[in-house]
Amino acid sequence: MKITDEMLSAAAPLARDLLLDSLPPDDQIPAHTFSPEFEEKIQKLRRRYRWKQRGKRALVYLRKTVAVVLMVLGLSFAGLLTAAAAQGKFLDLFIHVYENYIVYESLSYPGRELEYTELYPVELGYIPDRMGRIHSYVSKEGDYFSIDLRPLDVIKEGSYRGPGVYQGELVELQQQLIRPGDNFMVAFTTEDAVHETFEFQGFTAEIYTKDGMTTLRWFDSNIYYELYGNIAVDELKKIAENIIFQK
Amino acid sequence: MLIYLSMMDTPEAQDKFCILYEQYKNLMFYVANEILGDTRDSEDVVHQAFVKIIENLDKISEPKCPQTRAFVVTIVERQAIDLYRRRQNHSKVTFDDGLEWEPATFDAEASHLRGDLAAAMGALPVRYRQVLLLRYDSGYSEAEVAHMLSMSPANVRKTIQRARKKLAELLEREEAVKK
Repeated sequence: MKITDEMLSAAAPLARDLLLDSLPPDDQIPAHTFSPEFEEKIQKLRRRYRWKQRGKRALVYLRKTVAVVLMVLGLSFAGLLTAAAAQGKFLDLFIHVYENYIVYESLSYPGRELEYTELYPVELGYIPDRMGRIHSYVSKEGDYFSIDLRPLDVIKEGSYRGPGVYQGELVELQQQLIRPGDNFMVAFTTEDAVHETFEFQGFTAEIYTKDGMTTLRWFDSNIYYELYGNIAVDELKKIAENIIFQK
Repeated sequence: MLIYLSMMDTPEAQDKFCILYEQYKNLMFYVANEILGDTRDSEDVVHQAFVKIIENLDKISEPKCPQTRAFVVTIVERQAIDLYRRRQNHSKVTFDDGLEWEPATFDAEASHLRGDLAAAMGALPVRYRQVLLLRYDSGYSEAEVAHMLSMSPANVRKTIQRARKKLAELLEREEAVKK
């Protein structure tokens, strides 16, 4: 007897059903209380891959979109950077403004030298009274740092356990180091978003609010920042104004 | 290359990973624990399975569907069996040696109801069945199946060939019993 691809394709869904039928239905599977160590690992996993997932979607979006370039800003880091840590590379930051989205992009070139700032985890000098820090995370590579805030009652109750489908208030601050040699890109949609700029502590943040989520984005040399949350914009601004930068 | 996209999704809402996690974490733990019988090991396996799943997140179009459920079960089952083998000091067991993990039983009733070939696929050793489901039910390429199951594409092809042979044997045996 010869088993063909067609036969296997026809039988596979039935075989899958047999497999699933051999398992208890969801409502009969006991709910397991996972250990805090497990939840922490899942949280880290989710955090790191969330960026990658966004990146993949960005590529798809960019490929599909016929965009009109309105403006290209070149902001050179060359004058800021010295030779030692540069490994002979030159880093430029470009901000591309398209019709419905914006792309931040860095490009590195060999043969030019620059210094760049290593990542220095920041501290929050202001946290809304009703909120507290639930997580801080530094990547093993030392190129990413984040702080998560959640409401105190959520933290106290322990009802926020890892990456559940959480619907309450949240604030997250993320730092991403851009090293010479990295090609860094941030792309975000601006369609239906409310935009403003915000000056604080010598930085200029671009603020976009969409669907109740506000994101502040700015650069400190070669470190990219995102502060976002679903609390009031003024509260996010106050958090930004009180960030302690400890170089 | 680092590429980020913001504001196409909010951090919490409609996060595919969150949906998968909430939907399948208990099922995954159940499957792992059935094989390993150890809470800590089972949690480790669920974590490893999520690492594998998240690597293939873009291939999952609908988190809550039978295909995804089967995919998740396949991945966690695979991780659990691998850990079981390591725990049993069978780390050097060859791919073929590991095929007898599950005794092949042929459910006559299922065969009648669901089709002989499907029932025979269900009765195959786990690794054969895993490869066949990913390839022919989920429609992944041999290279994708290889990546998901940490195999080489050549090994996937070889496994499919062997699975076909095994299926033919099972069906012929069943035919003989019927006669």
